[in-house]
Order: sequence, then C-alpha cells, then structure tokens
Amino acid sequence: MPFDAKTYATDKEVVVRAVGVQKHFTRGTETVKALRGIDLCIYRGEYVCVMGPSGSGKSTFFNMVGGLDSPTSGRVFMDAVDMAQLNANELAFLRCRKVGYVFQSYNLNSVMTALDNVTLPMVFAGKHSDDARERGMQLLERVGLGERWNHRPKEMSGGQQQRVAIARSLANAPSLLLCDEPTANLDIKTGKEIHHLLDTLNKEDGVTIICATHDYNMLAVCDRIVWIADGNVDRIELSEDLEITKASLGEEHE
Amino acid sequence: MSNQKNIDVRDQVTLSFEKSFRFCRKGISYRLFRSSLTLAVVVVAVAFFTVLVSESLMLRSTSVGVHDEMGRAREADTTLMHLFHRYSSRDLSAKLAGLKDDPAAVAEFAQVAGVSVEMATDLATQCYVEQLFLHFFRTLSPGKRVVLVKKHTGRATFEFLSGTSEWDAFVVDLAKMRSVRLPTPLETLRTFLDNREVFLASLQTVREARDQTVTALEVKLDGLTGDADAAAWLGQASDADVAQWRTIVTASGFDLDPDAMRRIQEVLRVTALENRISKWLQSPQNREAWKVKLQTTPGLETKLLMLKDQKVAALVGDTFSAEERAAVADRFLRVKHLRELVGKLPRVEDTGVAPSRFMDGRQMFLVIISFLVCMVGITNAMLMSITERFREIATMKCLGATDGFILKQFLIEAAIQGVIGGTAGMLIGMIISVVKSWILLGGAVLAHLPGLQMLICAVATVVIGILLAMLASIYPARAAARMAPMDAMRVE
Ligand SMILES: Nc1ncnc2c1ncn2[C@@H]1O[C@H](COP(=O)(O)OP(=O)(O)OP(=O)(O)O)[C@@H](O)[C@H]1O
Ligand SMILES: [Mg+2]
Repeated sequence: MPFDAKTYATDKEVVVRAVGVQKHFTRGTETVKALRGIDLCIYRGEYVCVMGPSGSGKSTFFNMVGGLDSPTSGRVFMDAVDMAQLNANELAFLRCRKVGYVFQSYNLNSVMTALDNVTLPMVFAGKHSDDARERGMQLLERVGLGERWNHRPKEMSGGQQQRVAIARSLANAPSLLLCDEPTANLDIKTGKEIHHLLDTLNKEDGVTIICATHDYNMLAVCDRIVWIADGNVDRIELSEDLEITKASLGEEHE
Repeated sequence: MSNQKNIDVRDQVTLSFEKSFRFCRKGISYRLFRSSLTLAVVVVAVAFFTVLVSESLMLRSTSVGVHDEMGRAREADTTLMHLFHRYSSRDLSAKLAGLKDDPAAVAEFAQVAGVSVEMATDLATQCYVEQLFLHFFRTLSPGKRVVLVKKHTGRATFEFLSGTSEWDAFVVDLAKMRSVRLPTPLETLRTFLDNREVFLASLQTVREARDQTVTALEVKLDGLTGDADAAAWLGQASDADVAQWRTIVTASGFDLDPDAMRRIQEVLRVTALENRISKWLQSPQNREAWKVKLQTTPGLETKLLMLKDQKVAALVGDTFSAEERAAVADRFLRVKHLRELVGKLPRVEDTGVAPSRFMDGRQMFLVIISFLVCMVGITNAMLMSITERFREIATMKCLGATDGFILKQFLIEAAIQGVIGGTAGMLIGMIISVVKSWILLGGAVLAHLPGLQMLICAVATVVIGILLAMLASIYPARAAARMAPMDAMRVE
C-alpha cells in the first residue's frame, strides 16, 4: 500500500512543513544541486527516519529545517512560521527553543563539564542559573548520566557523550529534535542504547524526532521512513508497512 | 491542517553584561593553558613596549638631571667665563640666541654692552634665526645640502644665498624637496638675508662695546687682586674682599647675586685647596714617603681619592686638616662620578636652538616598530584563539547564541586578557627597564626617576594593551559571529 499523506495527516498537527525546498551550492562555475525540491510535512509526536545514500542531501535538508542555513528556493515552515522571514535574532530564538540538535560528532564544548554543556542552551534562553542546573541534572538523569554531571567530554565514552548531547538538545523543551546520524560514530551496542533512548523520549515524552541514519536497526522504532535520493524525496513509507522489507533488508545486512 | 497553533517567535534574549562576563571568566579558567599563551603574547608585547618607552624616559630625565648637576658643579668656571670671556662674532651669536627666552639675561647683556634692552632683544632674535638656519644647514643630509647651497658651510651659506640667482635656484630646489622642512617660513629667511649686513655690523658694534666693558672691569679688578688669577684669588680671599670684588663686578653691569657669589667662593676655595694638595702630593719628598710607608706609588688621581684613608692621614700629618682633605676628596669624587655619567649618557641636545625632544629619531623609530610588533603579535594571538574555536562558536550559535553575544564574549575575553596581560607586561617592563638603567648608570637613575612621566607611561601602556587586544579581536570575532553556523562548523 503506497503512502497517502492525506489519509495519514488526519487530525495531526504539523510541526515542520517543507515546500519545494531547493539548495544549490555554487563553487566557482560549478553548481552542486544538493536539494532539488523537497516537499515534506512532519507531524507532532512523530518519529521520522530519513534514509538515503551518502551525499543524497540529508544533512543539507536538516540544516534547512533547523534554521542553520537558508534554502536557495522554496520554504520551510516551523510551527507555521516561515523561517525565511526571521531575522538573525529571531532565528537564534528559534534555534534556542524550538529545535534541539544532535550531531554525528557530538559537538560538546570540550572545556565544559557535562552539566555546563546541558545548561548552555538554558543560559542562552535567559533562564536563572539555579533553575537551569536543576533541569540540567534532571535531563542528565533522564539519559542515565546523573552520576557523571561533573565530567568533561574527554572523560566520557562516545555513547555517553552522545547522551549528554541529547540531554543538551532537550534543554529548552524543543518542539523538534533533529538528529543527524547520531549513531554513526558508535558501535552497534551503544548505537542501540541511543536508539532506545530516542525511542523512549518519543513514546514517553512525546518529543517529535527527525533522524537521519544509515542504520537499519533504527527503522524498527520509527513511525515513518523518508527515503531521499539525489536531493529528492524518493518515497515515504510507514514503518508497519515495512515489516517484510525490513526482514529481507535485515538479512541482507547481517 | 486547520488546528495549527500560531507560535510566536520573538527576539532572542540579550544576556546581561554580568552574565556574559561570568561566562567568559569561566571559559578562560577552563582553557587556562590556551589563554595563557595568548596572554603571554600580550605580556611580552606590552613589556617590550614599556621597556623602550620608560627606558628612554629615564635616560632623558637622568641625563637632564646629571647635566644640571654638572652645570652646578661648574658654576664657578662658567660664571668667570661669563664675566671675562671675549666672544668671537660667531660665538656671540650662539650665546645671544640662547638668551632669547631669558629677558633677565638679555637685560644684563644690554647693560654690559651699553645698549638699549630693545636693541639687545632684537639682536637676540636675529641671532636665534641665524642659529636656527646654521643648525638646519648643518644637519641637512650631505646630498641635499649640495643641491641647496653647494659646498658652502657656516656663515658663507648666507653670503651665497644673498645672490639673486642663487636665491631663486634655492627656492626652486627647496620646493622640489618634499621631505625638507625649513625651521621658519621662507620669508623669515629672506628678511634675515636682506638685513644681514646691518645685523653683522650691529653684532660687531655690540661685541666691541662688551669687550671694552670687560677690559675696564679687568683693570678695576687688578687694583684689588693684583696679578693673581681671579679663580685662585677668590679661593683664598677674605669674605670682605670677595664682597668688594662682587661690588666692582656688578658696577660694570653684570648680575651676580650674593648667593651665587657665596657658592662660587666655596667651590673656588676647595679648588684652591685641591691645587695646593696636588702640588704637595707631587713633591719629591711626599712621593718618597708614599713609597716607603705604603709600598705604592699611585698616580695623583688615586692619591686624591685616598685622602680620607687613615694611613694616608698619618702621612699627611698636620699639613692639611681632616675637613680640608675630606672636602677635596669629596668634590674630586663627585666631579669624577658626574663626568663618568655624562660620558655614558646620551647627549642632551642643547644647541640653544633646537629644543631637545622627547625622543630622538632612532628611539621614535624603535617605539613605532615595537608598537607594530605588539599589534601584529596580539592580533595574531587573538586571531588564532578565535579561529581555532570556530566549531565551538558554531555549536553555540546552533544552541541559540546571538551574534551579539558571540561578539560580546570575545571582546570581554580580549579585554580581560588585555587588563591582565597589560598590567603584568607593564610591571615586568618597568622592572626590566629600571634594572637595566640601574646597571648602566647606578644610583643616578633612582635619584632622577621621572615619577609622573613613568606613571603616565604605565597607565598608557596598560590602556594600549587593552585597546590593542580588543581592537585586534574585533575583526575575527565579528567574522565568527556573522558566519552561518554550518559554514563555521565546516571550518576545521
Ligand atoms: N557547503 C557545501 N558546498 C558545496 N557542496 C556541498 C556543501 N554541503 C554539501 N554539499 C554537497 O551537497 C550534497 C549533499 O550533501 P549532504 O551532506 O547533505 O549529504 P548527506 O546525505 O548528509 O550525506 P552523508 O550521509 O554522507 O552525511 C553532496 O553532494 C555534497 O557534496
Ligand atoms: Mg550527512
């Protein structure tokens, strides 16, 4: 059964809507068309996986959605606000409170402790430091690192660092969590822990998650899979429709 | 899609200065090692700069002080020369040029030469112009001088320039030399040249009149002193005689107040004593006594310096009292010390014409170079400390830091580093420069420490350190703040 956006969208609230998003990179005379017109809606409470071969434009799309970069043409709406209309300070506001980022390479501030890293977005949001610390500790406990609050990134494993990064991304209770290959640098077991964490965050806390990945294990926990190829949305599948395909893929993979 | 909730997007909060400051301080203490490298650059640059400036300040102040002291030590000689010297036309011009800003001295000169004060003042002004241009042509680079005035030097230059065609050529050549600046407007030189004949004539008249007064004075004084040399006579004369001597001198028109007279008399007494002691020390029987009793035959200088020694005291016996010997030895030592200092110090330019400047060309050049080195060093350190943190900056922007916050953060950081590095550098620089000058010149430096100037220099260098650090980080900080987060993230 092919994916039908109209039926799927009934009663669902849109968090992100991309309309004809294109992104071209020009270097000298050469133009790379990283995105060739993406149309996509993400609904509240959803867990969407974005799959696609390397270089297909996943990261580029994420940057558009997260307000880190602006599209060459087309629009991105975040909670019905056109991001192109926002000035630098409004974008900063949006990045601070509406979106949480989890990067492939963690991007923790290496000189700060885990707790300081987690409270950083709250500092930017102007939160009182005592409240920030309290919430920071809660978040660290949520990702299972309550004991490690005073450790620097160097003193933690990759999986632990990524969990700190996830705690940080949740600091200001964003509408949307953007994870760009969060498990790419981790071994399978640690990757699974992260999957599990994201899954519980989605199911229990209702966080909307978009996750780019090459990891087929991820597909089991998500609601929808968006296949991107060559800067276009190739196809969108519901996770439950995928069981059969997944099984075969899994075999292929293992 | 009907139930869309319209969320508001507001401006991101601006963090207070205090919060930003605390954030920076934390950052600095976290990356203490990295910051201390940047800090070290600031310290070294500021210290270098401070050493140069404060050293030249100290040298200058010591130089002025020591020359003053030397002047006071030589007061007797200069006064006697002032009274009895017969100046050549050239020397008189130099002397009068030096008097230009001293109305009392000009008045004295007018009195001695028997001319009106107005005329003396006018003459002094003209002498000043002459000296200015003599100095100007003398210090001109040889190549330029040849173009402007051929091979002429001294007063012959003016003679040469008085010719009409020569003057026209001079004006044309001068206009071509952009870097050459006349000390006065061109018209002043022209006027001087036009009046030169008259000027030389009146200078001559005044000179002769003054010589006559001096000769008359000498004749009058001979009645009192006989054939004796003035210095030797004053060194042994009674107070009453000296007072009479002064009366005769002042009657001729010279200014010589009783205080100055007393100082001169005192110095001349010691000098006369020194002459007698020297003569006695060099006598054959004295030499023999030194050889026998002390097993040495030192030179006169060493003997004079040893006058206070106990063994020497036994030798000298009753010939001279202890006070007399001490006075001679002390003065001898002081003059010797001053002379040594003067030899080591840079010359204070005292031509009576060119005012001695704050620094000479070479020092100015060094200071400018060191300033540039400072600037390049600090800019580089700031640039490094910011570019290597592009990724951190990008991450912070992703987390909601505004451009303003990033800029503020780096400027505050630079200011903190400027304050700490500037103060430390200034202190180190001060210590180094004081120690360096002290090694070179000894206690004289401390005696002539230019306190206020050093304080101003200290404050100025710290301020320069802060400003440089902040200025140097504005550009990279702004570049970092304005970058799209993704671009910054990609920079490795
Ligand atoms: N700044 C840039 N300048 C030029 N080309 C770029 C730039 N960023 C991305 N691209 C190009 O855009 C295309 C998409 O890149 P993108 O990083 O989005 O791929 P991806 O799907 O995330 O790949 P991967 O799975 O390896 O992370 C690539 O061909 C890449 O070369
Ligand atoms: Mg990518």
